[in-house]
Amino acid sequence: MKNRFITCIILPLVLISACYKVGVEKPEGFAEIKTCESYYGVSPEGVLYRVRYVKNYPVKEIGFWQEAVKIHLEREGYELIDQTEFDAGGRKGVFFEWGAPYGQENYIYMTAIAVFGKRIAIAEAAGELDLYHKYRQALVASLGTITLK
Amino acid sequence: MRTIIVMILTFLIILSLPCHSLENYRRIIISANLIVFDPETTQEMIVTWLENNRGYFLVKSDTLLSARIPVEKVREFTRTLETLGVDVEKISETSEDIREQYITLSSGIKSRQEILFKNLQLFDRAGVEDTLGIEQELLLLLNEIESLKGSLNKLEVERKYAYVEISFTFKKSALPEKIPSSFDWINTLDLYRFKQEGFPNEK
Repeated sequence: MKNRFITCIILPLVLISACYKVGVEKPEGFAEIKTCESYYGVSPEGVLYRVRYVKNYPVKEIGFWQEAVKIHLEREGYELIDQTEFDAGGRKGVFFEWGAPYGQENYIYMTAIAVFGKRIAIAEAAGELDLYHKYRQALVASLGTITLK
Repeated sequence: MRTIIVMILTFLIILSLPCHSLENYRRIIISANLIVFDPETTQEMIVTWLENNRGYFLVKSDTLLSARIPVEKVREFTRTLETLGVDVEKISETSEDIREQYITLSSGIKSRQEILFKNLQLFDRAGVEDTLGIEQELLLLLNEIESLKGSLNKLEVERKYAYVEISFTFKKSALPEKIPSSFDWINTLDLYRFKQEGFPNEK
């Protein structure tokens, strides 16, 4: 009886609580898949979009992580094209647009972060320059809908 | 008595001289070389700025953009160039005083107009033989006046609008290299890894 109680009631509850569901609206024109850990979107041409959460450890505010991401990717050699703030459900977020070669093409790699208390939402998108610009508005609109469920 | 007349005449001449002290008599040329990742997007941003600030472009190609901007917007424009998210390799501003050219052209037009007026008076009184000669001289004067007016108009544009020439150099980044961060999750930010992981397969 005790074992059955653990299996049927406690275990599912533990599993559910361990899963921070990603709340985000689909960018217009994208196909989507939601898993426990991440949200995935893809355009017909293959522009990728992913949103996930990581632990805010050490616990810091957006300004700290903003600098950390910027310094790291610049150091690695990504070309910073733009840095823009956005509002994610009342929380300040920031997204970077980086330029980098991918094969023979020029790609834009977008990285966005927003701090939700003990969690940091990370969004990424990547696509060939023209394709990225085609979906940029839809991607930015989607960033504004990110929440932690 | 003669002194008084001379003084009055001098005063009148001074009054009749054009007063341009507050106007701009400089030809401003700005040249810049921008290193950009995406020349097309940068050019579009510059053209939008021009449209919103009473400027206009003259030539636009993949590697060059020339334009005219109002002289009072020069500072604002150079600041905008620096905030376009690109590297400004070189930006220079040259300024040349065009007052002398302006005065030479203006007086050239005025003197020719005076001769033209006198010739027209002669034309009324001339006989058949002289008419042809005066007519040729009138045409010559008219051509010269039009040509000088054209040059003066060009100077007027240069007084009001600065000339801008921007060349674009495409920057193709080297492939980023992996440098570890002190924060684990930041190490997961990687275009190539992101592309490789792609869209999850059906389970």
